[in-house]
Amino acid sequence: MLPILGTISVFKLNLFELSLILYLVAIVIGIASRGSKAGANLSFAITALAALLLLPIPFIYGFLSAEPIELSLWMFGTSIPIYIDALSAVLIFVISILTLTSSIYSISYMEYYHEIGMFGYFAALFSLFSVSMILVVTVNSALWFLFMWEVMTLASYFLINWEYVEESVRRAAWKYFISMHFLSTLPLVLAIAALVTITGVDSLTELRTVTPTLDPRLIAVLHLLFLIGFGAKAGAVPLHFWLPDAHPAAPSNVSALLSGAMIKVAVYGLLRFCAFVLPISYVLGLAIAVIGTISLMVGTLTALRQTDAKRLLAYHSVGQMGYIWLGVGTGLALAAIGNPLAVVGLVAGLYHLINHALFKGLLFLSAGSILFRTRTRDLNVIGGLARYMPYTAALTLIAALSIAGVPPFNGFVSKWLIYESTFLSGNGILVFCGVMALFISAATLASFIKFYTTAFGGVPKVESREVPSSMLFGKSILAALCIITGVIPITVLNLLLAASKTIAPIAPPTALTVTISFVTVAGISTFIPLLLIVTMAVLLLLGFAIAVPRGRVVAPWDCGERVELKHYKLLALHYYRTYEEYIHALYELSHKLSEGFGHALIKTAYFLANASNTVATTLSRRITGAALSRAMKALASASDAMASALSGKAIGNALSRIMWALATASDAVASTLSGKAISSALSRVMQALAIASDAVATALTRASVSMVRGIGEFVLHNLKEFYADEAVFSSVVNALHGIARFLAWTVLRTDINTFMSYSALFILMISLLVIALVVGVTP
Amino acid sequence: MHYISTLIATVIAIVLGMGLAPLLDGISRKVKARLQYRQGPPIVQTFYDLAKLLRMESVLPTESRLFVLAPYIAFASALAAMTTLPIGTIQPLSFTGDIFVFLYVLAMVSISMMLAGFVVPNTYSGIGANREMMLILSIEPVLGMGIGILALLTGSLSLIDIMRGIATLDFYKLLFAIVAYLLLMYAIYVEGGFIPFDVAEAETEILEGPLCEYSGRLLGFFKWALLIKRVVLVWLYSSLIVIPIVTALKLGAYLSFIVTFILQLFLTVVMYVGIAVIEALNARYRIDHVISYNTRVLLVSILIFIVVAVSVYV
Repeated sequence: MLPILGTISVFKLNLFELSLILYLVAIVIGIASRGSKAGANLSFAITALAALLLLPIPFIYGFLSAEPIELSLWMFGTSIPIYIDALSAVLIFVISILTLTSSIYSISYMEYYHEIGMFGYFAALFSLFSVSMILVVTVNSALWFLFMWEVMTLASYFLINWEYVEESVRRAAWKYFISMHFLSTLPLVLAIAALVTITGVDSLTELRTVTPTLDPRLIAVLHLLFLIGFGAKAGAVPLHFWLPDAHPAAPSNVSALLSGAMIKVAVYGLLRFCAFVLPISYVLGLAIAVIGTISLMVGTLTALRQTDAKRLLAYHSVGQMGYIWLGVGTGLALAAIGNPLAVVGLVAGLYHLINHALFKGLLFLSAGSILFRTRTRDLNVIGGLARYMPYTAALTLIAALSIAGVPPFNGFVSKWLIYESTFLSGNGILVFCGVMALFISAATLASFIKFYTTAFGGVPKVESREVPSSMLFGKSILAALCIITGVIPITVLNLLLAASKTIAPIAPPTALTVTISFVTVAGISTFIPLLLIVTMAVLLLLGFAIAVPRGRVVAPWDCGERVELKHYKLLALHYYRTYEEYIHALYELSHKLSEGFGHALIKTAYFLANASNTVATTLSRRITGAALSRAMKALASASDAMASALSGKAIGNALSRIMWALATASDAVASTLSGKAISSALSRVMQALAIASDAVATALTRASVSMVRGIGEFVLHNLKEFYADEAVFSSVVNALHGIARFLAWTVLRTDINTFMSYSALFILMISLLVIALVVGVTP
Repeated sequence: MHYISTLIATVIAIVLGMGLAPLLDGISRKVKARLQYRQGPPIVQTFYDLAKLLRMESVLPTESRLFVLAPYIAFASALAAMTTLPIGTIQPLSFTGDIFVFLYVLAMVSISMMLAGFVVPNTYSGIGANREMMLILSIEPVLGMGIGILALLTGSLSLIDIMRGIATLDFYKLLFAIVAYLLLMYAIYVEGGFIPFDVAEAETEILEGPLCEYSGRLLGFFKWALLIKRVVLVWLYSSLIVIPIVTALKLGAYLSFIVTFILQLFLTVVMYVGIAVIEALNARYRIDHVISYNTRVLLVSILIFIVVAVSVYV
């Protein structure tokens, strides 16, 4: 593999490194050009080039069946281990193709956001977002994975928050930020920290060799944590509540990347950690399949009644991710019991992953085109756009038919493979999931017929015109791929077969046979897309031979007057009303569930804040102040010790200095307050109480200090063993410092109180859980 | 030899699809007329109707190319679906033998009809297309349950393998298969849009729904396509009954082909006449009734499915 990349190298750099350097250049140019449109365009162009350079990698895996490549990148004065196998190559394909097309699209599209300005920063963030995803799927270190994951989350947060002048956008971005940190980052931090501390290995490929010896109960807990962490990012029901707000709020070129690529990265993470690093489990596979089925039902049926173009697409992302989960889950469950059909399930899930990236990216770019020209996303308002935007209409129709699973487009083949793997599994639960997938396929069709015909069908209600050619070009690439991957499935199936082998090497290849035109499952069920096209073409010609279409367009009239046609088209609102009323209960239930989760999250936050507030006010202020100052001093010294022991660098000192300053300040405040209160009789009682609780507080403080010290020593003891290389750690610390600066920048944009309370709460939760975990796993 | 026989079967499939559809409709009209004490039109009346329509040019309500192409796509998809079904015991030269590919290709008839219905600015067309979609939405899970039970019992999704697999089942599994057949019968009847489920193309109520704006040869093609779709569905069902029986009889290759083909043809006509009798004795349901009935059938089918899944597992 490496020689192949090496032979086409430039300046002794392989393609991967060259592409990363171009990404960095794009980021630097973006930041340097600030508000300049030209600089931003240059940055977009370089990002597109960087993505283009990555495209050969999946093809090498697909057609030369190469071995995994291992590299080590020198960045920030430290080395990042890189491991690219076929599974990474699948994701590289998805991310780079979407980055390529939406970069080209962005050049014209960003004019829409000229009031915001800051084009350069947008381009830089866009590039950072893309490169962080590339690194997430290629990095060979659990901790670097976590770091890149966080960079990805932050970059996407800024991009979602781009139109920050809108209240709704700020709220959506905030919802995204909070739910991602609580539900995705937090479980992943816990799981990866536990995995790395217990095994003492950080490299994913090495972890793979040591995990089979772990306690099965621990593996089950890790599976659960990964399922929550990646499920929240992938928008799996019931952790999907942030997605329909966040994806439409972002600019459409970012929505394409969010829905097309980022949520797929979560599937990669799930497969990498639960099926590659950790041993496969039957129950986990089944759980993923069932969660997928619930997601596809809830997501798609909710999408059915949306009338906002981008919100409709976002709900379909939840639904289509359900198909991917169903395929992947079926594959994992069958692989765990040694069923040869496992390979079909895995390939089907990954195939749908690629397909969804292609058509959903295209659909979001189309919704962006509509927004660009009509300045609205409401499907009730627009109509008849096919007359003004014929190319956009045709491209949207291709995407809509693909997602609806109409043969011979790509969505059909992947859905068909999902049905094959579930229906033939012989497992009642999986067959049931398959039946539901079949049913939801009809609902997807219904939804996209509505999407296409309300936006492009009927007579125009508003004046419009076709979008600029760079936007059309970006979309055409995706549309062409939708057709090619559907008609000649071997273009991606070889790569997917290689990827499924990295997960389930036991499955014999006979379960899925692929040639240039054939796809055969289990040697029985065959589909030949090319012959379907020939058959359809011959039969269409037969139709034309019987009678060629001939007719004339006549405008209708009534009593001698021309009729205003635009009033005679159904509005998006009126589609499938009876059916929606019939399944009303389902909507209410899912609404309650999703809102319930969101509310529960916020309620927990407020409850914790209130509880700590009550505790603070109940105790005497002096005591609290003193105890607080003592606790802070203890923490400060502990963290100082930790920091200096870890790096001995400025960051630790700065932190401890801040803590000392805070401690002194709170002490001063406390004594002032108590000085005022001392004259009253009440304060004497309080003082008596205070003395008593002071003793308690001192004892508690001592205990906690020793605990913190113990934890610090434990962590130090463990960490020092793994991180002999101090440079790694200092670079991580530096990077975290950079993230904190970024955060400070957002504070200027968002409500500062909410920000501070959530951040404090977040840190509190993480530290509590880490303490619990560390205490729990210490022998 | 093998290729020649499959090629002949393909031609037979296409000719059967094109010819049988108007003929069976003519028979159906005659049967309905006799049941209502009318003389009724001649059996070949539908041929006359189609020939007349196909000679006339169309009046188009819109410039949309989709509107013009839709009848042709519907016609081609219906015939393409016919070529995936077994003719006698021979599988025609086809792109698939898989039941899902068959269903999706056949669904393209409805898809083109709905797209055409929604694209024109006409409320009746929109309502008709709307109803067609809701009909599909409510019946699709029942169809899936039926296929799911057959897949669990026979371990295959290939049409001809399912049919042959039924013949080898033991008594209890055969009972389950019969239940699955009943579910499929209901689903096929609803999908075919026969009375009382003809809500989408309700002639007297919404002026044939999606076909409302069609005229001339385009209307002719659409009507033809819808008739072919019905024949395809009935042919599928008759094959599902005939092929297991003939397989169980273990006749010689040549004889079994002849017997199967004759029985398929015979059963298709018989079932079409049976359907005509049901059609003559029933009035159209409202769309909310249809959804409600289909959901009840779905609940029953889920219960049956659970029983089958558990018993197969045990």
